[in-house]
Amino acid sequence: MSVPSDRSARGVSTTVGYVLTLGITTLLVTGLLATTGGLVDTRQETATRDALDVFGQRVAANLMAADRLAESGADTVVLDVTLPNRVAGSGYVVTVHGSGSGSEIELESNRIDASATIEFVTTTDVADAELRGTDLRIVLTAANELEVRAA
Amino acid sequence: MNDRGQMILVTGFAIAVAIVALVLLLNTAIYAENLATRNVDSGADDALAYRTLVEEDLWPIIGAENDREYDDRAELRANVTARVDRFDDLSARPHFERGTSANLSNRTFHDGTHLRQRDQSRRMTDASGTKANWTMAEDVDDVRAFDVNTTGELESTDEPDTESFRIDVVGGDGTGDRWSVYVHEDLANDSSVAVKNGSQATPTEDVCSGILPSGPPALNLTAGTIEGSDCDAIVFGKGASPPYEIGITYGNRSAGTYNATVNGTPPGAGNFNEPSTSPYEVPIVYSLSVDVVYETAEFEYRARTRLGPEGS
Repeated sequence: MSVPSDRSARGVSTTVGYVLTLGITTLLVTGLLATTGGLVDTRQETATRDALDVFGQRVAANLMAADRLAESGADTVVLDVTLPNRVAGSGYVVTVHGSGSGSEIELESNRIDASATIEFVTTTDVADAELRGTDLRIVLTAANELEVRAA
Repeated sequence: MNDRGQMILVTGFAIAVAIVALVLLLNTAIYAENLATRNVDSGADDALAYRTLVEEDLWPIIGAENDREYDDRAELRANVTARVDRFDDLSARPHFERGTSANLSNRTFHDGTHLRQRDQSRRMTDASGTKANWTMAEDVDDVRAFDVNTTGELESTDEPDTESFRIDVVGGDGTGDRWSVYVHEDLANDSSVAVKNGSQATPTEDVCSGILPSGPPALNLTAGTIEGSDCDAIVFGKGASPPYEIGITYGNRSAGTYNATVNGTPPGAGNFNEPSTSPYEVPIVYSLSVDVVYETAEFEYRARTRLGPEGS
């Protein structure tokens, strides 16, 4: 082991030097990765929640439009709602709680911890449904009920 | 020194991958925000507007054809069909240009008849002039606009039940319940109206005397008016159930004009002439049932609606 002969090199050794360097670097790297990972996760949740909210609003608006048509004494009402299959890289589930169970639409992402709930108001009864997030079709059934199905 | 540099390089790569993931998120966010700003126009409002257009504007076209007094029902039907086809074509055109199909399908024409006498001086007998008691129409489910305008020859009597001109509406449920309106003059030669409801044995005499003119009155049996003013005693067909048989008794004891618009077709047997020799029958379209259909690539709407004169 070579030790510098000056007086300022007292207390310095290669081992201590390496340990300090590696320790500080590891701390720095870990801190950076953790922060960045956390940032991505937070942004992912926010973006997913916003997107699910928008999709839910579209489904609710179309459901209420179908209700107006059904109330006019229609025999047939079929309305298609275009939705993407994935949100932020994850699939999602659309749950319709019908007139008997709260009159709301709940959308929940499969992999990301984000969901959105949208309420609606209709005169015609709406049936309960649970569907994979995809293009949907709103239909007036023979029992004079609005049903949300996969298109 | 190179080893230490490599660790920082690897960290840099890891952070770069995380930022790429953020970019993918950006794509989702842009799509969602764009979707949020789009109009949720499913076509529902347009479909309802089309239906309103049909309900308000189609019947006057059919009514105009009814007013032409065709003597042949087949000719009436052909002309009405042609006009409905033209309406269908014109009303659908603005929608075609936007990739929408709007049409009227599954049309059912309900036949009806005007029964009319226009000759004011003629008595209310049948076409041959020989029958005073005769049937105007049978198996009638609905009557609208039945007005009678008497001009003279009324019987002067205080026993309208057995002596007076009357219009009878007999119920079709087998009970024979009869609703009648009697028009005559009393012994002082003032006009008088009596009404018998289906449940009564004898008529209520001298109804609505306050609004009767001194001369022969004009009545609207379906609206329940005399000389245009409300007469509560006249309620068309009260106590009798459809299908009705409508007849005239003592038609020779009244002269004047009348118009009755009935659902269905009157009996044959020559009780009426062809237009326009009084009394005559005119084939009409009483009402039209039609499917209003409105379709786009994402939307389908179909509703069955019945068209007729306002208030029917």
